[in-house]
Amino acid sequence: MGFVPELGKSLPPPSIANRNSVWLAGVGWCSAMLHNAINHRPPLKSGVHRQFLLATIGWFIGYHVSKYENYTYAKLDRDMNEYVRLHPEEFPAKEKKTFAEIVEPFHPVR
Amino acid sequence: MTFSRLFSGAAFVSRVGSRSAFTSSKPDSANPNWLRVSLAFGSAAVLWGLLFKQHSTDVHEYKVVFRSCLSGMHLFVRFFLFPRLLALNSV
Repeated sequence: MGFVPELGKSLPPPSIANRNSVWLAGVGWCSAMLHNAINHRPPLKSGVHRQFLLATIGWFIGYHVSKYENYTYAKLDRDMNEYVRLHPEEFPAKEKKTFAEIVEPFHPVR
Repeated sequence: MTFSRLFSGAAFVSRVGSRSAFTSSKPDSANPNWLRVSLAFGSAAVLWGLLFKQHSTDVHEYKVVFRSCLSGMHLFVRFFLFPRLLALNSV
């Protein structure tokens, strides 16, 4: 939609089934069931069209939230990697020790 | 006991959890309002169609941009696309 700028078009889009979609669809469905319960109607069996519509709205919003989330994290990753590349002196490679050097001698007490 | 029963002797209370500010008639659950049902299902179908269309547009755009970037090994590709490539099986 209009939330992701042109730069984000190069990202792979989220699949139709994604975490945010499922969660927000569940939120919509539960809100429809809550609406039923408040009006003393059977929560699951009544107003199926309402439940379906609210779950759909949640799924739709969740897809765009996922897209925006992917774009935001990709931008942050890119900026962070650029900074690391431009300032290598701040990220020295850690010298690796073998386990033999770290482990203390073992004196069994039996 | 609801408060309304305490204050009025009449037995016209309908004992609903919420009241509408727009209608004064009791909600009739036996005869569904088919207009509203069809509107709800219709708008849900429209939303699903929009979603699938948007998804296919996004996939197409991504493939176009990726194919055009394949030739140039510049930073944009290295830092933006390649990490995402690893997660993608078929492009």
